[in-house]
Amino acid sequence: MVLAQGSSVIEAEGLGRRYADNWAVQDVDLRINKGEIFGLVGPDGSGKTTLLQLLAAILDPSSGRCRVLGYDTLRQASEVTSRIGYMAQGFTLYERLTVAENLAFSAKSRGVSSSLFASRREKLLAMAGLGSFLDRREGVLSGGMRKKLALCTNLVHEPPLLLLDEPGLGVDPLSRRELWRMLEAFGAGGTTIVLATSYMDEAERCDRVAFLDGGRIIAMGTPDELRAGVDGAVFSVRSNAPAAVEAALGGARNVLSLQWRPEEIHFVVDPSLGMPDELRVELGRTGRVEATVPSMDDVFVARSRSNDKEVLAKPVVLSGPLSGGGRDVPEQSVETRELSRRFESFIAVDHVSLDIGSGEIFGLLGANGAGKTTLIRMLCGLLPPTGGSARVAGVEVTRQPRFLRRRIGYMSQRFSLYPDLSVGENMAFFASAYGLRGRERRDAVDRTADLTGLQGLADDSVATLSGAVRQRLGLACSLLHHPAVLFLDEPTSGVDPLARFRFWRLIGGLAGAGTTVIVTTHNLEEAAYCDRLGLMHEGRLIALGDLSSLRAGLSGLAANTIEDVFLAYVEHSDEGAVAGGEAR
Amino acid sequence: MGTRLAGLLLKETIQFLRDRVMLFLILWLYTVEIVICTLALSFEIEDMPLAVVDLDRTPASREIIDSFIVTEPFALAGYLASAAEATSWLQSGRARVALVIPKGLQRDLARGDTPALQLLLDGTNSNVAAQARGYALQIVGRYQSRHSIENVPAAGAQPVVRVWYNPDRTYTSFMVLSMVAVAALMVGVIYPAASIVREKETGTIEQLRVTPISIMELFVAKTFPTLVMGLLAVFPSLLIVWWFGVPMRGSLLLFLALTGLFLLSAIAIGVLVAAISRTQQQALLLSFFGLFPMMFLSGTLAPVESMPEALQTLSLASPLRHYMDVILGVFLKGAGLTDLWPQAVTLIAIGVPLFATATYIFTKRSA
Repeated sequence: MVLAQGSSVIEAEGLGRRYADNWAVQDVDLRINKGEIFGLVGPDGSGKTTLLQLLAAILDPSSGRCRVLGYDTLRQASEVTSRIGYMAQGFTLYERLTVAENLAFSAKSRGVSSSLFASRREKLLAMAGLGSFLDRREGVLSGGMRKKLALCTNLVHEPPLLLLDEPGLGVDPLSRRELWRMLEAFGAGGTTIVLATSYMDEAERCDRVAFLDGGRIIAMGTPDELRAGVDGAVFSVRSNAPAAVEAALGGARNVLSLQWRPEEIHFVVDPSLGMPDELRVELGRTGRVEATVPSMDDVFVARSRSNDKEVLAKPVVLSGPLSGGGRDVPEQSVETRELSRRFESFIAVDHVSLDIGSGEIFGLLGANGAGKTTLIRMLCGLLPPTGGSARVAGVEVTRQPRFLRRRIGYMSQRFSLYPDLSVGENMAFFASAYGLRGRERRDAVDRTADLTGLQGLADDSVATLSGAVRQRLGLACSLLHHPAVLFLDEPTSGVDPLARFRFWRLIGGLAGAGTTVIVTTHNLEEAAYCDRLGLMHEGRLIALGDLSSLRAGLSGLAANTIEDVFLAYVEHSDEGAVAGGEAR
Repeated sequence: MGTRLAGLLLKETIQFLRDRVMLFLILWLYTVEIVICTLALSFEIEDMPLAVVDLDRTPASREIIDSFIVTEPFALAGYLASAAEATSWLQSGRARVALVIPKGLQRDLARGDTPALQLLLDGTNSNVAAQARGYALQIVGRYQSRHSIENVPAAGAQPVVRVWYNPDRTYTSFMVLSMVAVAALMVGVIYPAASIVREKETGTIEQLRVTPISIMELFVAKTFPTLVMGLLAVFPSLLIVWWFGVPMRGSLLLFLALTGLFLLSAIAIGVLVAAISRTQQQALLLSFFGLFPMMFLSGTLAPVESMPEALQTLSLASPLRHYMDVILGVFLKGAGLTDLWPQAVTLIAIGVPLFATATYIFTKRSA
């Protein structure tokens, strides 16, 4: 290796990449040391992926220079690419090959000798917990297992540098934990890891983090240093008059984000300006204001310069749900009794009984394959149950599916929209799908666009939208007909924290206006926005209740974070014990 | 109902017009592809290299040789000394036909005997060989009749052959029309298959299923535009047909109506393909899996009558075979509904059950 002892694995000076007139990455100076785990965070389109590709020497820089492992990424690109490991976003393997075949293929293509491969294979399989799935085809593995296998194939040649683009995307919390265990083990062994992420809990685990915005690094340091940088900009208010708080904050210029949490309102102000005195006084009248220790999410919000404040500034005001099927919506929005779904010998949903009230935000948590999506699909009438019954918005789901559809909105995991249609055309089409026409349709489209912050984007092509805007469009398309019950399946996966806060604010507004929202998420932090939670594991609902009653249900266990709560219940359930805020 | 269907149809139309690749493909199939296939696949024999072995070397033998060389199908490749040499030329491909004139030809003719001419043909492409043989027999026949009129009174009857519908007997007319029929089949199958599977791939089909749009509305929205487009796409091909000098003797309206009937079957096949494919790639491969045998079975390239009995029977089930009768009939024979009603009935008899099956499977699969 050309690398001298103690020198940096990555050295970039003035690195930039331009597409036509747009600089995707600009003026990046970066030194990353051996064994560091280095995180790249930033809003959608801030240049994370481009920067990773520049470092991987698969993209030539338009300006500046970069040395990776001592080789110039422009002139000695092949030296770099043959040594490093690079995992692109959404990278998948050959789904028709087995786990063993995928690994063997990757080892062969990397020129790993067979004796070396044998020992590494055992080590990697043990780490990833894939040892007993050797003959399983890649295509039938769960999302988390596929990601771990993908990581293994990138580690089989033991690269000194590993570049990962959003490795945790779409992976459930348990698998993400194991993924990180693998990364940290390799990091401790001297492997340098650079990864892009939109999960702030992942950023928290990095040795150092760089914040990108508009292609530039706007802040860099250890997570502690970054948090210290926004000290004094993060507050929480506890108040009995949330509307007054909202009004005060909505009118203030410096407020960057506002989150509704069950017990408090959390907000971030511009760190360079601090909390304006008049705001402090006004809030003081409504309740107790406290400075809070910033989380990485708050850092993200405070650092994002490309803040379009329009979504935030607009108070969410909604009229009550005007579902197509009339206003006689019952008190219970969702009612299931022993609802089950079996696929041949596999039970995807196992006797789930659930009551969800009108205007409630109900969160379904669980690992990949726990049955959340199957449950939601049954409640939307997309999948017939094999046992039990379900009423949604007063309609028996199996009896009157078409009547049901007028009363519900559904946003699937992939924000299914027509990429070849414009924003306006997508909305107009879905409005007509709900039977809206003429003036009624125009009004519905305008109102929903206004609500979701899509004004002025009507002519934009969906294919060119950022993930956050697509997600809002997906929501808009499922809201056009004022549904009484809204189902959201992983609505925020891959969306940056700021966009996520705004999304949840919208959801809060909808629920406040009486819409029932049922949401699945991998992001356990988001459980804080839900009125009640249902934890699913292997098809069963293992716990149900609000966060504090779930915590209380774990008597004697120190469960601080939501993740701890979740994992504790999963463990209980595996031991066969029945537990829960409302024991089931 | 009206609003939703109108919305769906508008959406399909916008998507169709925005899909440059598909537009290009359809236009290509109906124009350039027809031209290429017609020019490449027309088995008109022209300038076949002819080797001549003249062992007689008399005015009579020269007359026979000249009558061969002056015709379109044959071109002189060279004079050879022996039949053995001719064999080696045929072997190497320098000549495709060899004419061997035996010694004493003129003498035998003068005596009134019937001398034998030897014609050696490269039969590797039997179609070409058969045509060359036909031409050669004609040439010899003409030679004979010229001389019999001079010398002896004509023995026996002279056949008078008239070829109807295609007096020039060019293969071109057939090929152009055959390719138009094939294009209609391809577009009819591939377009609905692709547009249904694309919605599966983007996941939008699931989004549609949580709206009050009914499966039947979706089905109509996926099939009706293809029918309209398939009929419109006929028009550019009419230009090509005209350019090749193929006459249009029948009614255009009847042609369009029967094309619509034919498209019904094609679209149904497309929907069935979409029902079992998960990706556009699979849909395309699966389409070709069915399209090619159907093309070969239906008399688009080789006449149905020359196929084995079992395949002839099988070809009756192919809508393309009956559509071939329609298209050739309308264009070349000026056939009307009084002539083509059996084909129309057959197209309905095949298309309606096929379409019903497609509807059933589509609704079953999506429900």
